[in-house]
This record gives sequence, C-alpha cells and structure tokens, in this order.
Amino acid sequence: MTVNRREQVLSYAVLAVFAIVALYPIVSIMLLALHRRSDLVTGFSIPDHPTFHTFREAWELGGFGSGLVNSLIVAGTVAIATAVLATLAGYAFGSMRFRGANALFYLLLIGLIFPYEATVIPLYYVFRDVGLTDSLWALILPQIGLSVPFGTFWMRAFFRSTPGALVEASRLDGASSFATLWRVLLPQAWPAITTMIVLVFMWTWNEFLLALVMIQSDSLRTAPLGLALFAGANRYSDPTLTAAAAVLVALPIVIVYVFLQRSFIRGMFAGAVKE
Amino acid sequence: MSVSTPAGVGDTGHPAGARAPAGVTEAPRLKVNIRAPGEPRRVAYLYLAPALLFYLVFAFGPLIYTTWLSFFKWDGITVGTWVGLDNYNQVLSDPAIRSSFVHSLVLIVFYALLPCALGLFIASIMVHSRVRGVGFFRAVLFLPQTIATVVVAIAWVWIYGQNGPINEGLRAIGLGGLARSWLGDFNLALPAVGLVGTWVMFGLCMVLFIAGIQKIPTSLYEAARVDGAGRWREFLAVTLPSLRGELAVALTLTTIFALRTFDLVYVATSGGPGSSTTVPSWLVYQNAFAVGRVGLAAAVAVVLTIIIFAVAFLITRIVDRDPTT
Amino acid sequence: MRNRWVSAAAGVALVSAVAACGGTPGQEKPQTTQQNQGSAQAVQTDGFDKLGPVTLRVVSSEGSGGPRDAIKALTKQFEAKYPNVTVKVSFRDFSSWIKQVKLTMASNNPPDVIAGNQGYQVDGELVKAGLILPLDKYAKAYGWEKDFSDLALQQFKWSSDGQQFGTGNIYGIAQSGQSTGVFANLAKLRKAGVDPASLKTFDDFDKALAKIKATLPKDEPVIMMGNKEQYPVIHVWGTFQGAYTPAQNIRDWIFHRSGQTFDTDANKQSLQKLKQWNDAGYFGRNDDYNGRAEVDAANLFGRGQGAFMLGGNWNAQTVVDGLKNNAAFFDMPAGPTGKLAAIGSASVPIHISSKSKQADLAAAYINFIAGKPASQELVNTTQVPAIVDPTAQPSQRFTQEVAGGWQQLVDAGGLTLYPDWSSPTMLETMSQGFQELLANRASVDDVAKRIQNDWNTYDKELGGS
Repeated sequence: MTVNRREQVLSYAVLAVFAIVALYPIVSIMLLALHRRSDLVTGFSIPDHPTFHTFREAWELGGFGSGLVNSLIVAGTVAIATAVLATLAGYAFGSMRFRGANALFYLLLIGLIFPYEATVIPLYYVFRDVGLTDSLWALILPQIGLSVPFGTFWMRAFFRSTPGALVEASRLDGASSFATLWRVLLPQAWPAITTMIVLVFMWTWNEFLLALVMIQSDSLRTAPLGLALFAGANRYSDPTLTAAAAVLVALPIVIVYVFLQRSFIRGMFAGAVKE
Repeated sequence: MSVSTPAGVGDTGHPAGARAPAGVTEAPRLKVNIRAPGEPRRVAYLYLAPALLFYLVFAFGPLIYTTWLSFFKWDGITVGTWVGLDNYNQVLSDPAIRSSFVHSLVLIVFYALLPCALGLFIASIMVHSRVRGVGFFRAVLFLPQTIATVVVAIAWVWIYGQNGPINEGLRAIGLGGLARSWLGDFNLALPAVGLVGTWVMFGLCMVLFIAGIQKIPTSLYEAARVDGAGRWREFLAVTLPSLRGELAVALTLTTIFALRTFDLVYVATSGGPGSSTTVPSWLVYQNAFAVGRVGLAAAVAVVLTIIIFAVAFLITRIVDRDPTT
Repeated sequence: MRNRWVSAAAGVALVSAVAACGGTPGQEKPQTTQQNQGSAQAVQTDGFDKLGPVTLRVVSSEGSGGPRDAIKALTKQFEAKYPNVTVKVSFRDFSSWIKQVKLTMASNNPPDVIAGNQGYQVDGELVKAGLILPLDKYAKAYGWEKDFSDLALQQFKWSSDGQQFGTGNIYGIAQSGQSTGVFANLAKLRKAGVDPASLKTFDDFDKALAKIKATLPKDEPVIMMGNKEQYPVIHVWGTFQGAYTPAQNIRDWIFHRSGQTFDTDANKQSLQKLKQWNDAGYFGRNDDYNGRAEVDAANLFGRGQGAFMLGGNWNAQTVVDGLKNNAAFFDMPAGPTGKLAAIGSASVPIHISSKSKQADLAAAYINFIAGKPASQELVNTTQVPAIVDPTAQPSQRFTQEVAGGWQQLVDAGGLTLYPDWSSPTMLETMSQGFQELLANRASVDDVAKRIQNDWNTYDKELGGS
C-alpha cells in the first residue's frame, strides 16, 4: 500500500482537530470549576487563581459524598450481577443446543434497543405499590434486567467463538456443563467479562431518568440525579460551583476509562462486526 | 498500534475473513459452527433462567404493562378508566405531541446523520494512511461517550450561555452581533441541542469506521486504482460498501440515542423555549409523573418504542444487506 | 415456518393474559381523611421536648433570596426552642419542585412538611389523592382562622375530593403575602426625568417607558425580565391584567365560577399591551430573556441593569441588597378599571403529609414559620407576613413600600391570585402561549383561545357549572 504523504498529514490534522473538539467542552468545564466564585467568568479562560475551593464547597453543599457512594453501589451491583447472569445465559446460548434458542435470543435482543422510557412508568407504579420506590433496589433490579440483553449478546459471541474441541474434550472427560464452564472456559473469558462489566458499570452510573423517577429522598440520590437538582438551583447564580459539581460526578468514570479504555472501545466496536 | 480484537471475541467463529451469511441459527447447514451435541436440553434452560427472569420481570414485562396502561385514562393515584384507543388518537392528532416527534427527527439528523458523515469523512481520508498513535486518538475521540449526559448538558449550557465560550469567541473575532443566548432562541434551541448530540456521538462513529477501514483488504483498493477510479469513486465502490456493517451499527446506535433523548432536554431546556425542544421521552415524563396523564404517557412511550423498532429494522435492512442477528 | 407463527401467536396470547392480570390501574382513595376529620382528639401544641430525639423532614420551594433566609432563620429558632428536635429542610427550586411534589408525596416515606402550591395543579391533586392532612383542628388550636384574612383562607381550602377550591377544609397555611408590582431603580428614573409619584395611571406608566428607553444604552432593557422558567412573564403581565379586567372577575374565573371566560376583549387588550411592549424592545432581546432565569434577572436588576422590574415581591431582598437606596417598589397604577389590581396571593401553603408520624409536631413547626411567631423574621427579610395585624412593622422605607404595596391591593380587593391555578395544565398552557406570543409565533387571539380551551376542558372534568 502506497502511503500517500499528503494524505498522511491530512489525516493527522483532521484527527487532531476532532480530538480538540472532543476535549474542548470537558476542558472548558474543568477550567470553569477551578475559578473562584467571585470571578465573573466569561468564555474560555484560564483562571489566574486556580482554586479547589469550589470542589470542596460543591461536595459539602451538594451531598455528593453520598451521591457517589449510592452510584457506586448501584452501578457495582448491577455490573456484577449482570456479569454473572449474562455469562451463564451466554454460555447456554453459545455452547448448547436447545429448543427455542432462537426465539429466546430474539426476545432478549429486543431488550437491546427498546427505550427505558417505555418501562419506567409501570416500574414506578408497581414499585410504589410494593413499597420499593425510594430505595436503591428500585434502581438495581430494573437495570439488571435492562443490561442482561447486552451482556448475554456479548458473552454468547464469546462462547460461540471458543473452539468446539475444547468443550468436547472436557465433556468426554465426563465433566458436567458447569465444570466445563468453570474450569475450561472461564479463564479464557476474563477479557470479555471485564469489558462487559466496565461497559455496564458506565451505563448504569450515567443513568438519569430511572433515578429521577424512583428516588425521592436526598440521601438516596445517585450522583447524576444529585447533580441535576444541584445545578437546577445553582447554575445561574453560581456557575463555578455547578461546574465543580459536574466534574465531581463525571470524574470517576473518566478515571476508570483512562485506565481501561481499551476495554471500553473493544466492547463498543467489536459488536460492529455483525454476526 | 494496530487495531485488533482479541481472537474470536465478537466474531461468529466463522473462518476468518469469510463473510458468510450470518444468522443466529444453529441450523445444520452451517456445519462449521456446530457446538458440542448431546448436551441435555434442560440444563441450558437452567443457565438461562436467572437472566431471562430478570429480563422478563424488569424489562420486557413492564413494556407489556405500559402497553396495557396506554388503553386507560389514569392519573396515577385514583382508579383509572378504560378508553381504548383514545390515547393513541391523541398521540396522532395533538399538535404538541406530533411536534415532539418532529423534533426527534431533527435530532436524528444531528445525532446520527451528521456524526456518521463525519466518521465516513475521516475514514475515507485515513484509508491510505498509516497513522501512528491511532490508539491515542481513539481514546480521546471516544471520551464524550463516557461522560454522563447530565454533565454534558451542564457543560453545554455554560458553553451556549450569554457569557460562554461561543459568544465570547464571536465577540473576540468581531462577530459580536451574532452572539446570543442560543438556548433561549426559539429557532436555534433545537439545533443547539442537536449539536450537543453531534458532539457526543461523532467520536463513536469515527472510532467505529476507523476500525472498519483497517479490515478492508488493500487488494480492493489496488483493483480500484487499476480501474482508474478517483478518490470519490474509490470511496463509493470500496470504502462505503465495506463499512456497511459498521454503518448499520453506527446509525442504529445513534438514531436510537436521538429518539431516546431525555437527560439533555431535562437539564438544558425543559422543552423550551415555548415547546420548541420537546421530545417524546420528555412528554412521557411530564405526562406520567408531573401532570397525571399516565395513559397518554404510556401511549407516547409505546409509539416511540414502535418507531425505534421500525427504524432499527429499516436500517439493518437497507444498509446492511447481509441479514444479521 | 408454521411453527414460528404458532409459537409467536402463543407468545402474544400469553403476554396479553399476563398484562390483563394487571387489571385496571389505580386504587380507591384511602378513607383516612374521614377519620381525621371526625375525631376531636386533643391537639398537642407544646411540650415537644418530651418526645426524645426526633427528626422532622421538610421540603421548601423557596430556593433563594429573602424567603429562603427566613426559613433558615426560623428553623434554627424552632430547633433552639426544642433542642431534641432536628429539622431537616431541603430547598428545591420552585419550577422543578411543583413537578416532583406529587411523586414525592405518593412515595412510601414522604417528608413530613412540604410546600405546595394553590390551585388545581398541585394542591388540588394532593387533596384528591389524600396525600395531605386537613388541618382544621390545628387551625382552631392555633387561631389561624382569626389570624388569616378570608381571602387568604380561601386559598387554603378544598373539598375533600379536591374538586372544589375555595371552600371546605383548611389544608395548610402560608407565610407571606406575595404581590406583584413594579420595582424601580430610582437613579435611572431620575436620569430620565421621571418622578415615580407622577405615575398615577397605567397610561402614565406606559408613556414613561418610552421616555426612559431613550435615556438607556442600546442593549439595556427598560424592564428587566428573566423568563427561562417560562412562567415569570405571566407575573409581568399579571401586574396589568387587572388594569383592564376587574379583579373579582379574574378570581371568579380562577375558581371556576359559572359563566366565566378568559377570551374577553379586556384580556386581549392586556395581552396586546404585553406584545406591544415587547415589540418596542422594552424587555430587551427575546433570546436574552428566554435564556435568563428569574433569579438572574433579579440579580442583574440589583446590579443596575434596567429601570424597572415587574415581578413578585419575593425578589425584594435581592433587589434591595443590590440597589440599596435606589430601590423602590410600588403597585402598578390603576388602568381603565380605575382600581388597583395585580397578581398576588398568599405564598405557597405549607402542608403536612398524611403519612407523617409527627403530625402535631409538624403543625407546631408550621405555626412557627408561618403563623404569628414568624412575623418579625419575615419582615427582616423584606417580606410581608400573610396574617392580618402583624405586630411586626417594617422600619426601612423600601420594606414599607413592599408591605404597603401588598396592603393597598388587599384593601382595594385587588389581589387577582394566579391564573395558572385554574387547571392542572394551565401553567404550561399559559407559559408556552406567552412565550410564543412574544416570539411572534402566535397571535393574541390564538393565545386567548388556547387558555380558554384549557379552562373549558378542565371545567368539564369538574362537572361544569
């Protein structure tokens, strides 16, 4: 392949431009957060007296400590539960033959695309009747249900790709299906499982509508919900404070992303190669 | 740093490179794909059961129940009354509801068409290049996808504000006359919201397509060159068809995201000014919880879901000729 | 192929059966309200320090300014009085709270004390669903029926089915009298040679606007306004709706008395006047004020932007903090009707959740922050206590003007209340309609018809009259 020099430069240039565009709002809001409250900030400006005071204030005023903890509990539980359930189900779809496999898989696939909005109404009213609203369970249980389709799709793809010979050998040795899963396949599955956990964690962390509807008390708010309510009250009178709060909420996922970004991206575009 | 998926993960297990008519079926004719036979069926159901249970109870089941609710007029508290298809009539005839769907269409242009076009653009430029550090660019371009939409909304409300970077930038280059409160303008608020969506999605599309072009065998390009094809022809004849799968995925993901927009509208505009940025999921929330017209909200939700299914189906049909799962 | 259809059909049948098991949604309203009414239990109004450690959860919709300061101060005083009681107050912003309040109250563990809002959108629905307690026994114990005027009490009364507003049981009381009027920046008026005392009629005010505009820089509005929440413009208009329509007619329409309509020439004239001011550029640029929050506008006005601000007296503290001696307040002068009238009412009623386990304590708290004990603190924060004959009198000129503005409206019977109380969807209908009117996307006739249609639809639900 002849590498065209001019196109090479053009590629770098275009990539650089888009990279800047992607970063600009993020950097903008971070700089805003570093300003003091009294600075009348306009535009994109580097603070001359950078301060972390806004972060501290946002933390205290907005109760983001509990918000982050709640988000962690919900996202962590959903991610792990989904991983377990999806691995089991993916194993069945990917390695076994059984009646109705197709139909059941299509059924699950529907879950990949339908909107949360369609489920949130009955979930709220039914949960209210059984007394589950305003509890973290109201966020955890539905999101497991909503994440399982992606997880199963993902793990099924993995299991289908493992060489049949491995599984057969294990069966011939008399191992039960579970033993096969546990001893033979699982060790190989960790990268796939990690990717799935990371993606489900991120999507659950960022979920807003469900929290808005289900959670009423201050102490059970998840971080995005707390942020939205905090911003509603403060964003005009105190933009630097709001920016600090926003950074606090986004930071955990961004940090996880920076370390695990290969996992993230792998997960997103591996699905691109349609089965 | 070349792009590679770990062996096998994500593909069908077909012999590498072959684009077999993929189906989810374990039909006998795909002998190459047979799994171990003889496994007792019942065990499979056992493995499936927990996942399926959660899904049915907390995801699919509620979808059905929403449909059921859409036939009632209910305020959420007292007893509801059966009204048959009345709510659907209203969805189809009420100009406020209709316009929210129209707004969604506009958002699709910004969230889906524009990012995909940008993604294809950059992919076509990179076709003949070898870019070092593509991994770094990938990571940066993908970053917007990881930020909670609430945070994105707050950041962009600031950016679009009277004293935000956009207006200040315009003033700095002497175009201060154009500076305005972008989200407060009846005509510009929806496009402004749309551009936020473009920002969120364009990285995803780029990453998808950049990965996609790396799989295209160079022999195809050489063949095209031999035929005397220029850049544009080469794009249409080689690049675009090869990216079909990625394009289908990108369009599907972005379109669904456009149709599902809620967080952005809630935080940035509350549907305003006037009703110029209302979207269906906003109406669902308003009607189900703020105003007490649950049946109507359910009907809107059902219509939205149907549209999403239809769109996903259409995209797959049209773009990705190979029928997929 | 046939198999697939069969299984699909079976699936659909199964699913429909499951769905139908859901049955008709909703349930009959619990009958607890009857019990509460009937029993003439003794009401505990004191001695809460014997309760041991107890927490009272409160949600207030006073997100900023003087009202918020007042609640904070009063709450501290209440906690000082009963050291074993902890009061947790959560401040929410009004426009999002009124959307969330019903959901919150319907949950399993709602707060004990909340701010509601008069009218069918919030209070009516809360009463209809049995989510808040009727407070008549507390009204007797604390003397609220004496302290509050009839017009005020009317705003707190509902029939127990939430259908009739203005009669029935008392469901809450409010802290202050809130009226809308004209905030003026005296320095700017002086510069334009306009003497506020000379503005004796609405027409005078109208003419003064043009005069003042000539003296202001090009991009400074004559009337500072912030309409991001979509409803503040209603308050602006509300200062002169009553210039054309008698206040009693306006109130009758809100209370759904028979034969009322919004679609009158008088109302259309007032809408036309609003549009005319907008088109003359008195409010500044359309996208500017649509992107600006009400609290921002008050802040900007306090910092010297704009000659007038038309709005509610809850902004008083913010304005006087900024403008100091240059701040003035007066009622919009009377128009063709010849009488003073403007949007005004008691502030939001404070309710007790029907699930609260500390109803007596909650009532004592409410009395403390909204009844007689609260008057001085309210005055300190430039508000007007809602109760008649308050013993606390303002000493500052500006605060006296604010209080005077309220009192004059009361005396003239000119408090028109808020038009959005008239149906659960009216706030949205009016907000959007007004925004479109000012953006030249809807005509005056359109908007008037839309408003009346909304009213008619709800009127039918109420059984017509």
